[in-house]
Amino acid sequence: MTRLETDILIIGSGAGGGVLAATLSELTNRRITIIEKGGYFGREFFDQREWDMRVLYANDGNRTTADGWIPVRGGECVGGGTTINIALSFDPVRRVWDRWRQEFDVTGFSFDGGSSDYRVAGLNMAACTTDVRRRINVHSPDPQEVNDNNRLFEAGCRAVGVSTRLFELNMKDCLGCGYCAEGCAYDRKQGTMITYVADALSRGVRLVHHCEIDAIEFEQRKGRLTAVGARGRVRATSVGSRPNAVSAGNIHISARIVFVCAGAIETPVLLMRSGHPDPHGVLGKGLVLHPSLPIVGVMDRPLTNYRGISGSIYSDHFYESHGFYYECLFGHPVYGSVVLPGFGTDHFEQMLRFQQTAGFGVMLIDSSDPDNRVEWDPIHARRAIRYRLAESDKIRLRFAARKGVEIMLAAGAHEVILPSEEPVGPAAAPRFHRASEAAACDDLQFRPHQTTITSAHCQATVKMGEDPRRAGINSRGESHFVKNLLICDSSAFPSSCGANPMVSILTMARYQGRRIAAEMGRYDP
Amino acid sequence: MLALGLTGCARLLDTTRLSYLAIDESPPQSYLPVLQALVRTVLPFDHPRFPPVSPEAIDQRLLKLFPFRPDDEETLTLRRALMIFNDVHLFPAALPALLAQELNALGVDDRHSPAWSEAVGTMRAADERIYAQFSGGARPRPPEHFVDLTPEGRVEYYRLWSQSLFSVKRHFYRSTKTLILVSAWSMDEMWSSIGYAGPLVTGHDKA
Repeated sequence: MTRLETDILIIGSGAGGGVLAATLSELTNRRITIIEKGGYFGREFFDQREWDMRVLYANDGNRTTADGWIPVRGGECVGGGTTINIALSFDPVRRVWDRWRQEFDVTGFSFDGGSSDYRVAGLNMAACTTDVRRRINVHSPDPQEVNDNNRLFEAGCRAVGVSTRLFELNMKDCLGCGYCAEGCAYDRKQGTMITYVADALSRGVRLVHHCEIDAIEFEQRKGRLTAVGARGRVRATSVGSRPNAVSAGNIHISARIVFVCAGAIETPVLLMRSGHPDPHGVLGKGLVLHPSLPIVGVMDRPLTNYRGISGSIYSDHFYESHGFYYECLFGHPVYGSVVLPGFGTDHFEQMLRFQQTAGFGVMLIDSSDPDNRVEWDPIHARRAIRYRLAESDKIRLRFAARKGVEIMLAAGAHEVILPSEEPVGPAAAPRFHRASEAAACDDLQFRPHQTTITSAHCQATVKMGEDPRRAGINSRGESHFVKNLLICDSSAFPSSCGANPMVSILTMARYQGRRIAAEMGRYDP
Repeated sequence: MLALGLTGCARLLDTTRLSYLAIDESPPQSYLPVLQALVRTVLPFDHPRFPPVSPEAIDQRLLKLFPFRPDDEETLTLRRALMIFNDVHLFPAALPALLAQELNALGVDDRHSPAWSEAVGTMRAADERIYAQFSGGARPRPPEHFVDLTPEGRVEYYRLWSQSLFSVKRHFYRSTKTLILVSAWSMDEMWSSIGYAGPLVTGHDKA
């Protein structure tokens, strides 16, 4: 049994935990320990092979909804999702945070750059966003960095009157290899592992990886249930990982403050597993996934698709009216083969056109339905992600698919393929050759295991807000029921944050880190 | 690793849906021929542009990436499902155990409700209809086992599983297809056929 003592325990080293560790180590002199469930894999490990790099993902890339249909991708390694995302960076969407203020009693998080929330000089979202953008080098790519796939998407949108924008990306001198999702082998993507976690480690923060926390420990202190540490197990260090700070075996960590930053799936599960009070049945409920539908087009000529910056152009044209984005991106052969419909000769001939293939995706801002949830089954020690596409979301997805087919055809595709086995379209297959055929998308049923839906942005399973009947934590990120237990990851969002969530999480963590450093007395025993 | 999450195969491996349909253990000599026949259905080895990769190489890689250990509870379901799949004439049968699992998959609380009965009737009728299209005109009747079907018959039969209204059958289709495609397309030897140049970094060990 390894026994550690620390002042601040941070469970999770991704977008939330990494920034918190860096900020608290910058602004306080407390002892800080980061716990990471996954391994500590650096650039020397990233071999740009899809199968090998599955170890960077939760459940080795096989975390899905309980019915096995929708993959719920997430990073499970130092840096978390920021290690395996494709660097798409959206500033926090102010109107979403304003709505949370009105609908969920969220306080603080001022977007006015002159505000000093919680009486902390200069503490506001604008300042924290600036800090984050600077640290992870958020910027727009140069026009010459936009590859053919993105250019075709842009041209297709323009042809049908759909507006586009250049993405902002957290990269520095990107080499355009196209393997962001397999971890950046050149340290050009500015994920938290090489930015905030590295900053924290340079200030003496301790990192324990390969460590699964079984439970957070609570005690009654001064009449209040109080977090006092955690216990778990450290696995043997995986081949290819950097060395660990402790040996494999059981571990117990005593702490004065416990932060859970394990992501919107694992955070509520850890709270449930730990026996965190939940008198109003809030934990795990209202899961948001940002379900995504790939759209594939076959061009008449080879194009640059899997090389170059994967995503540099997107469209928010339908964000206000229909609540979705088109985001340009492309995959590699394993992903591509799985997305394409059919099998046998038909499927192989689709693969033969790999170099002529273009792709982008629909990313839907889904509604936060309490029936969509994360559950913990204590008897079988198993979690389940229950998720069903709402009928209203299906209607919007059909519209997005239809317009997406039109865009791809206008971009020059002679065939557009939806990743579906549903018998829709003129040939009873989701393949389209003329814009007039796109209306067949209205017949899509989005049946499980028949149409491919992906997800990578799980959110909103703990929820912040001042009303404990509707939210698991308050606006400071503090548990409503356990003193000195705080949550800082995408589970804290009351609903979808309205965009790819990375920068929203980082900014929230920077904000909370600065606030906590200024209010440290609040957490003293 | 984006693709594996698309497979849903973890759920098929570690849940017990289809396992209710089979009572007996499925020894390797029973399920492996079915799996091998599926490999040869999903991948067109006789296509003139198919790379020089043998079916046996894919078989071996699949079992390396997704080991079917005899004592492994997680793969027991898939092994049993392969046996059920092999029994062609079972396809249109709405076995009670399958209905129970579909009920669970759809999250239906009341199995006695008229709505559920109607839904089952619809799903069953659809499966009977597509199965009749598959087998109806054939004289003599098609072989009883997938492994004994002609290559064309295997394609038609496997496609039935993608078109069923029962989600557990579509789940089997999608999972097996994906296990095979992941096994194949993660091999360097497959890539030149599609013009994929592969990784830029060198010096790493590969799986």
